[in-house]
Amino acid sequence: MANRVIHNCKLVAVTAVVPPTVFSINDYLIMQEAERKQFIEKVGIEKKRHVSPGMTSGDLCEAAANKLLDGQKINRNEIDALIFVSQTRDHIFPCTSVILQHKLNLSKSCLAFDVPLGCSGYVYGITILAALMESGTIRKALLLCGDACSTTVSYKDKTFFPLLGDAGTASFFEYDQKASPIYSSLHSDGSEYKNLIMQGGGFREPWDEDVITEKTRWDGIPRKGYQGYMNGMKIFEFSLREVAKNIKEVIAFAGCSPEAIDYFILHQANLLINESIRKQLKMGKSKFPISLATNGNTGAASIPLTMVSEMGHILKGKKNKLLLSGFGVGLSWGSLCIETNDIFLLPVTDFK
Amino acid sequence: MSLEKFITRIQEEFQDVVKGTINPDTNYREIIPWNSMNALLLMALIQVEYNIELKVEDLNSDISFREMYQKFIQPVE
Repeated sequence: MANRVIHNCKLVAVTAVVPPTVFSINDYLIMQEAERKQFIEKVGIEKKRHVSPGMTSGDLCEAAANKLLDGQKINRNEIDALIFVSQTRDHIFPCTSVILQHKLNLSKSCLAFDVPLGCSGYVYGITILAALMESGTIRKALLLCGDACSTTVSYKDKTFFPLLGDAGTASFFEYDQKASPIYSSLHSDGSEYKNLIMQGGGFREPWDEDVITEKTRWDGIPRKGYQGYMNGMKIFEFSLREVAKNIKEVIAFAGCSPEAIDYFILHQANLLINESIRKQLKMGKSKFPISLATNGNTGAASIPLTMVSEMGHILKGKKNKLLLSGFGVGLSWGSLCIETNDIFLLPVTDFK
Repeated sequence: MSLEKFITRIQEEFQDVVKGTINPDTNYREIIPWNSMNALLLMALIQVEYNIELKVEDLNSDISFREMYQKFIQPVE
Protein backbone atom coordinates (compact mmCIF):
# COMPACT_ATOMS: atom_id res chain seq x y z
CA MET A 1 0.00 0.00 0.00
CA ALA A 2 1.67 3.18 -1.16
CA ASN A 3 -0.67 5.44 0.84
CA ARG A 4 -0.14 5.91 4.53
CA VAL A 5 -0.91 8.30 7.37
CA ILE A 6 1.80 9.05 9.93
CA HIS A 7 1.25 10.63 13.32
CA ASN A 8 3.36 12.40 15.96
CA CYS A 9 5.94 14.00 13.66
CA LYS A 10 6.31 17.78 13.46
CA LEU A 11 8.36 19.76 10.92
CA VAL A 12 10.10 22.40 13.05
CA ALA A 13 12.78 24.09 10.94
CA VAL A 14 14.23 24.25 7.42
CA THR A 15 17.44 25.90 6.17
CA ALA A 16 19.22 26.01 2.81
CA VAL A 17 22.71 26.77 1.54
CA VAL A 18 23.84 27.30 -2.07
CA PRO A 19 27.31 27.49 -3.61
CA PRO A 20 28.52 31.05 -4.29
CA THR A 21 29.28 30.53 -8.00
CA VAL A 22 26.48 31.88 -10.19
CA PHE A 23 25.95 30.45 -13.68
CA SER A 24 23.89 32.65 -16.00
CA ILE A 25 21.98 31.08 -18.88
CA ASN A 26 22.81 34.17 -20.94
CA ASP A 27 26.45 33.03 -20.78
CA TYR A 28 25.63 29.54 -22.05
CA LEU A 29 26.92 29.85 -25.60
CA ILE A 30 26.09 26.26 -26.54
CA MET A 31 22.63 27.73 -27.14
CA GLN A 32 21.93 30.37 -29.76
CA GLU A 33 20.66 33.71 -28.47
CA ALA A 34 17.07 32.95 -29.50
CA GLU A 35 17.25 29.57 -27.76
CA ARG A 36 18.51 31.19 -24.56
CA LYS A 37 15.70 33.72 -24.65
CA GLN A 38 13.09 31.00 -25.17
CA PHE A 39 14.68 28.84 -22.46
CA ILE A 40 14.60 31.63 -19.87
CA GLU A 41 11.00 32.49 -20.70
CA LYS A 42 9.53 29.00 -21.01
CA VAL A 43 11.72 26.89 -18.72
CA GLY A 44 11.91 29.69 -16.17
CA ILE A 45 15.59 29.40 -15.30
CA GLU A 46 17.78 32.47 -15.67
CA LYS A 47 20.54 31.73 -13.19
CA LYS A 48 21.64 28.85 -11.03
CA ARG A 49 24.37 27.97 -8.58
CA HIS A 50 27.22 25.56 -9.25
CA VAL A 51 29.58 23.87 -6.83
CA SER A 52 33.31 24.54 -7.22
CA PRO A 53 35.70 21.61 -7.77
CA GLY A 54 35.98 19.66 -4.53
CA MET A 55 32.71 20.96 -3.09
CA THR A 56 29.96 18.35 -2.63
CA SER A 57 26.30 18.13 -1.77
CA GLY A 58 27.46 16.71 1.57
CA ASP A 59 29.35 19.95 2.22
CA LEU A 60 26.30 22.06 1.36
CA CYS A 61 24.05 19.99 3.61
CA GLU A 62 26.59 20.09 6.43
CA ALA A 63 26.54 23.90 6.24
CA ALA A 64 22.72 23.96 6.16
CA ALA A 65 22.56 21.61 9.17
CA ASN A 66 25.03 23.68 11.19
CA LYS A 67 23.01 26.78 10.44
CA LEU A 68 19.84 25.06 11.59
CA LEU A 69 21.30 23.45 14.73
CA ASP A 70 22.97 26.71 15.80
CA GLY A 71 19.93 28.80 14.90
CA GLN A 72 17.59 26.60 16.90
CA LYS A 73 20.15 26.07 19.69
CA ILE A 74 19.62 22.33 19.46
CA ASN A 75 21.68 20.03 21.64
CA ARG A 76 23.51 17.89 19.07
CA ASN A 77 23.58 14.92 21.44
CA GLU A 78 19.78 14.80 21.22
CA ILE A 79 19.65 14.09 17.46
CA ASP A 80 18.51 10.48 17.19
CA ALA A 81 18.46 10.09 13.41
CA LEU A 82 19.98 11.61 10.29
CA ILE A 83 18.90 10.78 6.74
CA PHE A 84 20.82 12.17 3.77
CA VAL A 85 18.94 12.17 0.47
CA SER A 86 20.98 12.73 -2.68
CA GLN A 87 21.95 11.41 -6.10
CA THR A 88 25.39 12.96 -5.70
CA ARG A 89 26.69 11.39 -2.52
CA ASP A 90 30.29 12.04 -1.55
CA HIS A 91 31.37 8.43 -2.08
CA ILE A 92 29.87 5.17 -3.33
CA PHE A 93 30.64 3.98 0.20
CA PRO A 94 30.45 4.80 3.03
CA CYS A 95 27.15 6.63 3.36
CA THR A 96 27.56 10.41 3.43
CA SER A 97 25.06 10.50 6.31
CA VAL A 98 27.49 8.59 8.51
CA ILE A 99 30.32 10.98 7.63
CA LEU A 100 27.98 13.86 8.46
CA GLN A 101 27.13 12.29 11.83
CA HIS A 102 30.79 12.80 12.70
CA LYS A 103 31.26 16.19 11.02
CA LEU A 104 28.17 17.58 12.73
CA ASN A 105 29.37 16.25 16.07
CA LEU A 106 26.25 14.17 16.62
CA SER A 107 26.04 11.31 19.09
CA LYS A 108 27.27 7.84 18.10
CA SER A 109 23.81 6.57 19.03
CA CYS A 110 22.42 8.55 16.09
CA LEU A 111 20.94 6.35 13.39
CA ALA A 112 22.24 7.43 9.96
CA PHE A 113 21.74 6.25 6.40
CA ASP A 114 21.51 7.57 2.82
CA VAL A 115 18.56 7.49 0.46
CA PRO A 116 19.86 7.75 -3.11
CA LEU A 117 16.76 9.31 -4.64
CA GLY A 118 16.59 12.51 -6.63
CA CYS A 119 13.63 14.71 -7.37
CA SER A 120 11.17 12.63 -5.31
CA GLY A 121 13.65 12.50 -2.42
CA TYR A 122 12.21 15.09 -0.05
CA VAL A 123 8.77 13.48 -0.05
CA TYR A 124 10.26 10.01 0.35
CA GLY A 125 12.65 11.29 3.03
CA ILE A 126 9.88 12.85 5.13
CA THR A 127 7.77 9.69 4.83
CA ILE A 128 10.64 7.40 5.89
CA LEU A 129 11.74 9.65 8.74
CA ALA A 130 8.21 10.28 10.03
CA ALA A 131 7.50 6.54 10.00
CA LEU A 132 10.67 5.97 12.06
CA MET A 133 9.65 8.67 14.52
CA GLU A 134 5.99 7.75 14.88
CA SER A 135 6.46 5.36 17.81
CA GLY A 136 8.46 7.87 19.85
CA THR A 137 11.77 6.02 20.07
CA ILE A 138 13.30 8.71 17.86
CA ARG A 139 12.49 12.15 19.26
CA LYS A 140 14.61 14.56 17.19
CA ALA A 141 15.90 14.01 13.68
CA LEU A 142 17.51 15.68 10.67
CA LEU A 143 16.59 15.19 7.04
CA LEU A 144 19.35 16.52 4.79
CA CYS A 145 18.47 16.82 1.10
CA GLY A 146 21.06 18.08 -1.33
CA ASP A 147 22.38 17.63 -4.82
CA ALA A 148 25.28 18.85 -6.92
CA CYS A 149 23.85 17.72 -10.24
CA SER A 150 25.71 20.36 -12.25
CA THR A 151 28.72 18.05 -11.95
CA THR A 152 26.91 15.08 -13.45
CA VAL A 153 26.11 16.31 -16.96
CA SER A 154 27.99 17.29 -20.10
CA TYR A 155 28.35 21.05 -20.64
CA LYS A 156 27.54 20.36 -24.29
CA ASP A 157 24.19 18.75 -23.49
CA LYS A 158 21.84 21.68 -23.97
CA THR A 159 18.76 19.60 -23.17
CA PHE A 160 20.02 18.81 -19.68
CA PHE A 161 22.94 20.98 -18.54
CA PRO A 162 21.09 24.33 -18.37
CA LEU A 163 18.44 22.86 -16.06
CA LEU A 164 20.57 21.73 -13.17
CA GLY A 165 21.66 23.75 -10.14
CA ASP A 166 23.19 22.80 -6.80
CA ALA A 167 21.97 23.26 -3.23
CA GLY A 168 21.96 21.69 0.21
CA THR A 169 19.14 21.80 2.76
CA ALA A 170 18.40 20.70 6.30
CA SER A 171 15.00 19.95 7.82
CA PHE A 172 14.50 19.29 11.52
CA PHE A 173 11.68 17.12 12.85
CA GLU A 174 10.49 16.48 16.41
CA TYR A 175 8.29 13.83 17.97
CA ASP A 176 5.11 15.64 18.98
CA GLN A 177 1.85 13.91 19.87
CA LYS A 178 -0.02 17.11 19.00
CA ALA A 179 1.35 17.22 15.45
CA SER A 180 -1.20 16.97 12.65
CA PRO A 181 -1.04 13.70 10.69
CA ILE A 182 1.11 13.48 7.56
CA TYR A 183 -0.65 11.84 4.61
CA SER A 184 1.73 10.33 2.08
CA SER A 185 1.40 8.56 -1.27
CA LEU A 186 4.55 7.13 -2.87
CA HIS A 187 5.03 5.44 -6.24
CA SER A 188 7.74 3.99 -8.48
CA ASP A 189 8.05 2.67 -12.03
CA GLY A 190 11.40 1.20 -13.03
CA SER A 191 10.24 0.35 -16.54
CA GLU A 192 11.37 3.79 -17.68
CA TYR A 193 14.66 3.96 -15.77
CA LYS A 194 16.71 4.55 -18.92
CA ASN A 195 14.95 7.87 -19.60
CA LEU A 196 16.90 9.60 -16.82
CA ILE A 197 20.16 7.90 -16.02
CA MET A 198 23.85 8.17 -15.31
CA GLN A 199 24.73 5.06 -17.28
CA GLY A 200 28.41 4.43 -16.63
CA GLY A 201 30.61 4.39 -13.57
CA GLY A 202 28.45 2.11 -11.43
CA PHE A 203 28.74 -1.64 -11.10
CA ARG A 204 26.62 -2.45 -14.17
CA GLU A 205 29.01 -0.51 -16.39
CA PRO A 206 32.22 -0.08 -14.37
CA TRP A 207 34.88 2.54 -15.05
CA ASP A 208 36.70 1.87 -18.31
CA GLU A 209 37.94 3.82 -21.32
CA ASP A 210 34.44 4.36 -22.69
CA VAL A 211 33.15 5.73 -19.41
CA ILE A 212 35.83 8.43 -19.19
CA THR A 213 35.94 9.34 -22.89
CA GLU A 214 33.83 12.12 -24.33
CA LYS A 215 32.25 11.03 -27.57
CA THR A 216 29.07 11.66 -29.47
CA ARG A 217 26.56 9.20 -28.08
CA TRP A 218 23.59 7.54 -29.79
CA ASP A 219 21.40 10.65 -29.30
CA GLY A 220 23.92 12.89 -31.07
CA ILE A 221 25.09 14.62 -27.89
CA PRO A 222 28.76 14.55 -26.85
CA ARG A 223 29.17 13.23 -23.33
CA LYS A 224 31.32 10.96 -21.23
CA GLY A 225 29.88 7.60 -20.27
CA TYR A 226 29.44 8.61 -16.64
CA GLN A 227 27.56 11.81 -17.47
CA GLY A 228 23.80 11.93 -17.14
CA TYR A 229 21.30 11.46 -19.96
CA MET A 230 17.71 12.65 -19.95
CA ASN A 231 14.95 11.95 -22.45
CA GLY A 232 13.18 15.23 -21.83
CA MET A 233 10.08 14.34 -23.84
CA LYS A 234 9.57 11.09 -21.97
CA ILE A 235 10.08 12.74 -18.57
CA PHE A 236 7.60 15.43 -19.56
CA GLU A 237 5.11 12.78 -20.67
CA PHE A 238 5.55 10.96 -17.34
CA SER A 239 5.15 14.15 -15.31
CA LEU A 240 1.91 15.07 -17.04
CA ARG A 241 0.60 11.52 -16.78
CA GLU A 242 1.32 10.84 -13.11
CA VAL A 243 1.90 13.90 -10.92
CA ALA A 244 -1.49 15.67 -10.91
CA LYS A 245 -3.15 12.28 -10.48
CA ASN A 246 -0.91 11.51 -7.48
CA ILE A 247 -1.60 14.92 -5.93
CA LYS A 248 -5.35 14.39 -6.24
CA GLU A 249 -4.93 10.90 -4.80
CA VAL A 250 -3.18 12.08 -1.62
CA ILE A 251 -5.54 15.03 -1.14
CA ALA A 252 -8.50 12.63 -1.30
CA PHE A 253 -6.69 10.25 1.05
CA ALA A 254 -6.23 13.12 3.50
CA GLY A 255 -9.97 13.76 3.32
CA CYS A 256 -9.70 17.31 2.06
CA SER A 257 -10.09 19.19 -1.21
CA PRO A 258 -7.56 20.96 -3.45
CA GLU A 259 -9.12 24.27 -2.40
CA ALA A 260 -8.26 23.51 1.25
CA ILE A 261 -4.54 23.33 0.44
CA ASP A 262 -2.78 26.63 1.17
CA TYR A 263 0.27 25.95 -1.00
CA PHE A 264 1.37 23.31 -3.51
CA ILE A 265 5.15 23.06 -3.31
CA LEU A 266 6.26 21.01 -6.29
CA HIS A 267 9.69 19.74 -7.14
CA GLN A 268 11.15 22.49 -9.29
CA ALA A 269 11.55 20.50 -12.51
CA ASN A 270 11.08 23.32 -14.97
CA LEU A 271 8.45 25.99 -15.40
CA LEU A 272 6.79 24.30 -18.35
CA ILE A 273 6.24 21.07 -16.40
CA ASN A 274 5.22 22.82 -13.18
CA GLU A 275 2.81 25.14 -14.96
CA SER A 276 1.30 22.22 -16.87
CA ILE A 277 0.68 20.34 -13.61
CA ARG A 278 -0.86 23.45 -12.06
CA LYS A 279 -3.19 23.82 -15.04
CA GLN A 280 -4.14 20.14 -14.81
CA LEU A 281 -5.14 20.80 -11.19
CA LYS A 282 -7.03 23.95 -12.23
CA MET A 283 -5.48 26.00 -9.44
CA GLY A 284 -4.23 29.63 -9.41
CA LYS A 285 -0.59 30.61 -9.70
CA SER A 286 -0.47 32.21 -6.25
CA LYS A 287 -0.58 28.80 -4.54
CA PHE A 288 2.41 27.45 -6.48
CA PRO A 289 5.69 29.02 -5.31
CA ILE A 290 8.51 28.85 -7.87
CA SER A 291 12.24 29.15 -7.15
CA LEU A 292 13.53 28.15 -10.58
CA ALA A 293 14.60 31.59 -11.83
CA THR A 294 17.61 31.87 -9.54
CA ASN A 295 18.27 28.25 -8.59
CA GLY A 296 17.32 25.96 -11.48
CA ASN A 297 16.38 22.36 -10.80
CA THR A 298 18.23 21.32 -7.65
CA GLY A 299 17.03 17.70 -7.46
CA ALA A 300 16.31 16.47 -3.95
CA ALA A 301 16.87 19.97 -2.54
CA SER A 302 14.31 21.79 -4.65
CA ILE A 303 11.24 21.54 -2.39
CA PRO A 304 12.89 22.62 0.90
CA LEU A 305 14.92 25.26 -0.99
CA THR A 306 11.67 26.69 -2.36
CA MET A 307 10.18 26.75 1.14
CA VAL A 308 13.14 28.75 2.42
CA SER A 309 13.71 31.04 -0.56
CA GLU A 310 10.10 31.83 -1.52
CA MET A 311 7.98 31.22 1.57
CA GLY A 312 9.83 32.57 4.60
CA HIS A 313 7.18 35.17 5.37
CA ILE A 314 4.39 32.65 4.78
CA LEU A 315 5.60 29.70 6.81
CA LYS A 316 6.77 31.66 9.86
CA GLY A 317 4.25 32.32 12.61
CA LYS A 318 1.27 30.72 10.85
CA LYS A 319 -0.50 27.45 10.27
CA ASN A 320 -0.41 26.19 6.69
CA LYS A 321 -1.69 23.11 4.97
CA LEU A 322 0.97 22.19 2.42
CA LEU A 323 0.99 19.75 -0.44
CA LEU A 324 4.52 18.62 -1.33
CA SER A 325 5.13 16.67 -4.53
CA GLY A 326 8.37 15.24 -5.90
CA PHE A 327 8.84 13.39 -9.19
CA GLY A 328 11.64 12.32 -11.48
CA VAL A 329 14.58 9.93 -11.72
CA GLY A 330 13.71 6.30 -11.11
CA LEU A 331 11.10 6.87 -12.20
CA SER A 332 9.93 7.72 -8.71
CA TRP A 333 7.23 10.07 -7.48
CA GLY A 334 5.23 10.89 -4.41
CA SER A 335 3.12 13.53 -2.71
CA LEU A 336 2.25 14.32 0.86
CA CYS A 337 -0.08 16.56 2.83
CA ILE A 338 1.46 18.15 5.89
CA GLU A 339 0.13 20.82 8.20
CA THR A 340 2.83 23.13 9.49
CA ASN A 341 2.72 25.66 12.29
CA ASP A 342 5.35 28.38 12.53
CA ILE A 343 8.37 26.78 10.84
CA PHE A 344 11.76 28.26 11.74
CA LEU A 345 13.42 29.50 8.55
CA LEU A 346 16.53 31.53 7.84
CA PRO A 347 17.29 33.19 4.49
CA VAL A 348 19.23 31.13 1.95
CA THR A 349 22.95 31.74 2.39
CA ASP A 350 26.04 31.16 0.25
CA PHE A 351 28.39 28.36 1.19
CA LYS A 352 31.64 29.63 2.72
CA MET B 1 -12.94 23.66 -30.29
CA SER B 2 -12.84 24.07 -34.02
CA LEU B 3 -9.82 23.51 -36.25
CA GLU B 4 -9.64 27.28 -36.73
CA LYS B 5 -9.47 27.87 -32.97
CA PHE B 6 -6.82 25.17 -32.63
CA ILE B 7 -4.73 26.87 -35.31
CA THR B 8 -5.18 30.24 -33.58
CA ARG B 9 -4.01 28.73 -30.31
CA ILE B 10 -0.94 27.27 -32.03
CA GLN B 11 -0.22 30.66 -33.57
CA GLU B 12 -0.42 32.32 -30.13
CA GLU B 13 1.82 29.78 -28.44
CA PHE B 14 4.49 29.87 -31.11
CA GLN B 15 4.16 33.49 -32.18
CA ASP B 16 7.90 34.10 -31.80
CA VAL B 17 8.92 31.29 -34.11
CA VAL B 18 6.13 30.79 -36.63
CA LYS B 19 6.64 32.79 -39.79
CA GLY B 20 3.57 33.84 -41.75
CA THR B 21 0.17 32.23 -41.64
CA ILE B 22 -0.34 28.62 -40.68
CA ASN B 23 -1.90 26.54 -43.43
CA PRO B 24 -3.89 23.70 -41.79
CA ASP B 25 -2.62 21.24 -44.38
CA THR B 26 1.07 21.94 -43.84
CA ASN B 27 3.26 19.49 -41.96
CA TYR B 28 3.56 21.08 -38.52
CA ARG B 29 7.30 20.45 -38.41
CA GLU B 30 7.75 22.73 -41.40
CA ILE B 31 6.05 25.57 -39.56
CA ILE B 32 7.40 25.13 -36.04
CA PRO B 33 11.19 24.81 -35.87
CA TRP B 34 11.52 21.27 -34.56
CA ASN B 35 13.55 20.98 -31.38
CA SER B 36 12.94 19.51 -27.95
CA MET B 37 11.67 22.79 -26.51
CA ASN B 38 9.02 23.33 -29.18
CA ALA B 39 8.03 19.67 -28.98
CA LEU B 40 7.42 20.09 -25.24
CA LEU B 41 5.44 23.28 -25.77
CA LEU B 42 3.22 21.60 -28.36
CA MET B 43 2.74 18.57 -26.13
CA ALA B 44 1.82 20.81 -23.17
CA LEU B 45 -0.64 22.76 -25.27
CA ILE B 46 -2.50 19.68 -26.53
CA GLN B 47 -2.28 17.63 -23.35
CA VAL B 48 -3.09 20.28 -20.75
CA GLU B 49 -5.53 22.51 -22.60
CA TYR B 50 -7.50 19.70 -24.20
CA ASN B 51 -7.01 17.15 -21.40
CA ILE B 52 -5.66 14.57 -23.83
CA GLU B 53 -3.07 12.03 -22.74
CA LEU B 54 -0.40 12.12 -25.43
CA LYS B 55 2.62 9.94 -25.87
CA VAL B 56 5.90 11.17 -27.30
CA GLU B 57 5.42 8.77 -30.22
CA ASP B 58 2.23 10.60 -31.15
CA LEU B 59 4.29 13.62 -32.12
CA ASN B 60 6.98 11.69 -33.94
CA SER B 61 5.20 11.57 -37.26
CA ASP B 62 5.01 14.00 -40.13
CA ILE B 63 1.39 15.10 -40.04
CA SER B 64 -0.43 18.33 -40.82
CA PHE B 65 -2.20 20.54 -38.31
CA ARG B 66 -5.51 19.31 -39.71
CA GLU B 67 -4.50 15.67 -39.20
CA MET B 68 -3.26 16.48 -35.70
CA TYR B 69 -6.60 18.07 -34.88
CA GLN B 70 -8.56 15.17 -36.35
CA LYS B 71 -6.42 12.54 -34.63
CA PHE B 72 -6.18 13.98 -31.11
CA ILE B 73 -8.68 16.75 -30.48
CA GLN B 74 -11.78 16.02 -32.54
CA PRO B 75 -12.39 12.58 -30.93
CA VAL B 76 -12.73 14.13 -27.48
CA GLU B 77 -14.72 17.18 -28.53
